[in-house]
Amino acid sequence: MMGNGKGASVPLSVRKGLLIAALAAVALLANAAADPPRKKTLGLAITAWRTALYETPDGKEECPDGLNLGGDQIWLATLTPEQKDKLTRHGTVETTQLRDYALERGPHGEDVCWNPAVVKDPPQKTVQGKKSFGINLDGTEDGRATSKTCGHEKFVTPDGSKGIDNQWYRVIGCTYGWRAAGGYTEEMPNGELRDGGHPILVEITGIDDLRNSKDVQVAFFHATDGMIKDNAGRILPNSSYRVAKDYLYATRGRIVDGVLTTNPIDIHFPFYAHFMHSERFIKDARLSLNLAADGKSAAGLVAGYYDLDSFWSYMARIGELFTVAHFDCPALYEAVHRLADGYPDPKTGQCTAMSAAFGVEAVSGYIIHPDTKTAGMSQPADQVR
Amino acid sequence: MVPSFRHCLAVVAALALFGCGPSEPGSSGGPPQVRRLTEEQYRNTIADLFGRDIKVAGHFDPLNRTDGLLEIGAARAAITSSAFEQYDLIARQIAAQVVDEDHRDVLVPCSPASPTGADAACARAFFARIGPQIYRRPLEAKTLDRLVEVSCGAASSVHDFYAGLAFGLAGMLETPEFLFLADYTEPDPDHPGQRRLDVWSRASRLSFLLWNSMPDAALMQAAQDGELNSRRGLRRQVERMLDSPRLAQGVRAFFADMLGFDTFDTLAKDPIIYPAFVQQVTDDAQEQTLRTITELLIAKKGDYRDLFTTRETVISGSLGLVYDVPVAKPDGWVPYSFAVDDPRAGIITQLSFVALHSHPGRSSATLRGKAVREIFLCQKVPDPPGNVNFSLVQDTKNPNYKTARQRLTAHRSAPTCAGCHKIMDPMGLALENFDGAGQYRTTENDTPIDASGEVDGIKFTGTAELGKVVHDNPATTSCLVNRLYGYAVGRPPAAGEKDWMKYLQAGFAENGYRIPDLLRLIATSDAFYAIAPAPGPAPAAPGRSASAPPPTGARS
Amino acid sequence: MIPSLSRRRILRGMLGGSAVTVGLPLLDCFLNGNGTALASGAPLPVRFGTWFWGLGHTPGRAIQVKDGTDYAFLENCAALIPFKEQINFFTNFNTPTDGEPNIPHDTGHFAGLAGNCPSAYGDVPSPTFDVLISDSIGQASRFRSLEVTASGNPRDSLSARGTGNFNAAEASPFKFYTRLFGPEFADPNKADFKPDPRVMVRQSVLSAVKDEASSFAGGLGNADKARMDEYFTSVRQMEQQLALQMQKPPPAEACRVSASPGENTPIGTEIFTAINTHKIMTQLLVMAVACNQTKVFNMSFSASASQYRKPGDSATNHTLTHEEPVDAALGYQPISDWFVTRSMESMATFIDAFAQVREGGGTLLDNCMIFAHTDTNYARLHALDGIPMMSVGKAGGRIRTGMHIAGNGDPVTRVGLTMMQVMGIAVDQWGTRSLKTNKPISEFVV
Repeated sequence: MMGNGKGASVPLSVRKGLLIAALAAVALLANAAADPPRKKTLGLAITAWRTALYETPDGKEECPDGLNLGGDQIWLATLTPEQKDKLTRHGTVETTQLRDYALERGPHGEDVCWNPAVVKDPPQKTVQGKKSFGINLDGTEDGRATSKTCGHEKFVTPDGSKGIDNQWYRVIGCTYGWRAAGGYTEEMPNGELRDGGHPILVEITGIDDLRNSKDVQVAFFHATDGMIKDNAGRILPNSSYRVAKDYLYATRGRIVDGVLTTNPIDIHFPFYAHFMHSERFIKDARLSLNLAADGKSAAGLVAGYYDLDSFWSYMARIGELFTVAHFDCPALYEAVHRLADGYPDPKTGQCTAMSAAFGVEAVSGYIIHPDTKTAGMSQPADQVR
Repeated sequence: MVPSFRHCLAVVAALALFGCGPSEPGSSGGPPQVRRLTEEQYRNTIADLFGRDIKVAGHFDPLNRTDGLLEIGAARAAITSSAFEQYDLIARQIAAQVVDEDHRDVLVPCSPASPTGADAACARAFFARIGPQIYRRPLEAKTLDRLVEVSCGAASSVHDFYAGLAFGLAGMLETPEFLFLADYTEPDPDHPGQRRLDVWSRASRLSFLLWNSMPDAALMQAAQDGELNSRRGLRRQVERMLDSPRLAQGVRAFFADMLGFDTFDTLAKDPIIYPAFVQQVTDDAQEQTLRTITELLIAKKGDYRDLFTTRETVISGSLGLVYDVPVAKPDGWVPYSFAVDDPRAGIITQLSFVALHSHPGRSSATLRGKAVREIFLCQKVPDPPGNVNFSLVQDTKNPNYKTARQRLTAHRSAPTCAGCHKIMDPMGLALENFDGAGQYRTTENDTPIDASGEVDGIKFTGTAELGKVVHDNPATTSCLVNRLYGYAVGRPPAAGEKDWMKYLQAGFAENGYRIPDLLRLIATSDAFYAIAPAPGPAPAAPGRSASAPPPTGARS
Repeated sequence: MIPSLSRRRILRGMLGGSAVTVGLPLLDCFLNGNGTALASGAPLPVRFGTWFWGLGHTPGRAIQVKDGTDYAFLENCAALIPFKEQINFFTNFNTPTDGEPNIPHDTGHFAGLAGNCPSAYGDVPSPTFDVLISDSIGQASRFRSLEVTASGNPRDSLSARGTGNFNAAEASPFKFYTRLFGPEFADPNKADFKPDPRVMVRQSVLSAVKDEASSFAGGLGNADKARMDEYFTSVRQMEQQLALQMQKPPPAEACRVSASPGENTPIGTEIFTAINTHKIMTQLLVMAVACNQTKVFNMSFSASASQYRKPGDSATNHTLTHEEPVDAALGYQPISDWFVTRSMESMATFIDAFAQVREGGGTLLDNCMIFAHTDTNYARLHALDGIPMMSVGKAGGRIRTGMHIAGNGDPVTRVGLTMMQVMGIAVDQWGTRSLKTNKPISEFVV
């Protein structure tokens, strides 16, 4: 402390305090001078869903034992030559026409897709390769069992990221109907979606910058308006979508170098497939979306734990596609239950959900909330251009 | 004749309505016209005659735009062989529906003695009722007789009463009396030596102007009773028609003609360059502008000039994609206001203008500038000269030619080109922020667009100011009056109508540039019904009809 | 009274409705309008048509003129090489305008079609000569003439009667097929034939319509009277159609009708769409001619200021002809030139379609004379002089073919005059003012 008693000198603490106050005042002024940048909103409509399935052209890497047989093929193998000859009327009837026989072959004539445990078929051929798309969902590096997960093997992404959880891929990756060549099972619903279907909408608000935003809010809606295509069949950006009143999921996320990632949240995703309304219930669902720089499209993953009951209620209803998609309900049912890795049942310890990743594509759109006034709607200056 | 008290009241009311302005000047009128019905007029007429569910399937020959309007082209239009073939086909299809089991109970007023043979009495009842409606004037006795004879002969021949009716009906729908809107005249007792439209032609002219369709029963009755020759009676009908929701149909038809919407039929945008411009957009673009017009000019009784500055419009789902705005009800039409500083202001910035007057894959300042001049200002731009030298425009080595403005600068500096391009390009260049599909952009080829321009010495920047310039230009309103009157009579204004046109323009201004008031001014005037002698005989009204004595024409 | 009907021996069925069997000698539908040729044993009828394309050729790339009347096709016209022997190529015929403006993409072709220079767009003050020909030889056919376009726009027709009204062009393949071969078509090769009593009823209805129209027309001014004349002509054509429906048509060996094009056949101005539309429409037109539905036809491949474009290109053909720079190395505008070559390929498609139909001892093409023409000699400059013109087909042996004929600056109307004379019209002079001519091009007339 300076001072010789003559003349009042400011004590250091006070001086410090004044300095701090002065600095604070300067900071306050500086903040007041610069207006906070306006936060922006981006609306997206998801135009396609596909199981994110890593495959090689000849399939040998991931499916060294070949692809799965359809239930009809498996059933045919159980017939004697005489039975086969009689049923196919000396080979003049296509075996795919005998689908109902293959379906209803439980011991009491049960449909084996609705009752998959009543017969025991050769096991599902699962993925043997090491690579897969997806996300590290359980936070471990080695897939060991935790309080919320069952022990399982992990994958590496094609570009080298380790610790990927994707048991759904493991189960289905060697099944024709989900691979590129036979992708009817998932392309048909995408087609139905594009033909005026009602997309899932993702609304990202609180965006500072489309490339980098530390904290954004992400809400999921279900559109009640259909998508509009151009003359080449592509979905057009800038469409307007009204939302269903009773559907809303909200979480937070961040955008880093143009990639949006979100915090996990349980979501039921409705979809229309093969002339039926269905849904995917995904627990701990998260987005990993690459946002295009012009704000007009996005693509990436929706990953999480796909609830098995939700999964099977869909599979049972599309069971009759086994002839064209080459799957077998009993084998598939057994495999998903054996390989499930999430949400163990407290009583049995059996995991009830499987890690999964779906590739999604999205196109920008205006999300119209029910409380928006219909008259005098102005150009929203807060929309991402 | 001593004016009655009611007459005085009417005069006072008229003065009150029109203020103490000058009274209507004398007018020579113009020659009588014979106009082919447009496709929409034909369809509206069939719907009024037989109901909206009668299908009219076939194609109609295009009309040639003349003096800015298809309606004037209709006065020159003929019926070619292929057109007659189509009319015949359509007529037979309409007639077959009218007499079919779903419709005959409503549309045929009686039942035949036997459905497999002729029944002259019932046929007569049918044609006596429908004939005057189809020809839009009373049926001559010999015409009715002939119709009955043809129909009965047909019924006997094919053993089907109703088919017999259909043959006769189809024939009626192919006659020029039906297909053409003709000005029949009679001597004018108030102006000896002159002629005027007869009451039936008055009714038709009035009805096609205000409602774009045939006269309704009330109007025909008014014609029958001589009301249309009296000032008060005429006013009563005009007010009734102006008050009706059907006025929108007539106003829409006029503006669709004036704005050149017929070219939407063959409008094509390149789907690779403009994928959002799907077929629905061409329909919705026209509808948007027509709704903007009826909302402002009829519902709000607004000032015509505000069409060029208004930011209030309606929007549909497919338009939302092109305008890049949210649409609260994407499957319908919702009111929409552009923000106060938005470049979209006025119908010139709507898709129906900027996308229509563009090329399939790019915008065109020249086409748009020409369209503003010709459509809204009635200023004819001369045709391009044949022997142009384009080498100037093709100097692409010059890096300054990135935007249309830069390219067109050469257009306007070469002497042979400048004369015309100077009056077109500056207007169009202000609209360059809208690409060939009408979508907004701020750059072209990565170069910012400069949307400044000039019209007749007045400089402006941006489309909102262009709208204001058009709003303030006196040619805008005089052009509208010119076009509306031409549309009403099927010909450009005649030399002897100069004073009358000035009077209309003054009246338009006095009434705040309101379209319904202008229509009233026209429809209740003497000038609108005056006919100047044409070279050769004018079509005379047919002889005394069997049903009613002709109106005396005296003013009450 | 309708002159053509009086020469028919039509059995009027009793209106009591009994079925009428018709046993008539060969119809005189193979007679020309004056009835001067014999019905049976007569040479097959000569048909006349026009084929129009917009925006001309690239100068120096269409033909190479050789000695005498010899010539060779160059790059633009490579597709026409197989048909050279059927084609006469006219060069150096000019279009004097006598001070009327050169209206771009308008004067060029109307001068040669109508013998008159128009004074404004849409102004065609006298009939185009295809109408004069169809008035003469087309009366006895179901259709006086057929106008067709590949552009999708019914306004793209150059056939006009001189009242300012054009004969609208068929633009939709589906609708064209329905009009030609729908319910009203009488297959000439069908064995059985029963006239429909309803047709007779329609005839009597039309007669009543005409009476009605006559009293209407009586009260009109002169300009409107001319339009009514056209109306009556049209009614007469419908009566002609009905009369033909009352008789078994004579067999036509070349008539083979195939299935209808789909209702949603795409039409539009994207060049490949237009080329495809042209191909379909050509097939329909050829079938119609082979089935004797008409003797006169007009095909407009593209509009005069052609709006055709390559998909994804922002400029149309017309815009390119003005804005595309001349390539320094090539010496011409490459993309504009590309469009010219496409046009000539479609012309070859058109010619080939006629050449594929066997008729008599030769082909349908042998019995046709087709006037192929365009609106300019050099689109970039709207040049009027030396506009390329061609005749295609042997006109039943009435003309010589395979020649280059130089005009030495004579008016283009010499071509139209000659063609009218070849088609049997008694005309010795045609055109107005400097377009007036009385000199046919005798070099190519037999």
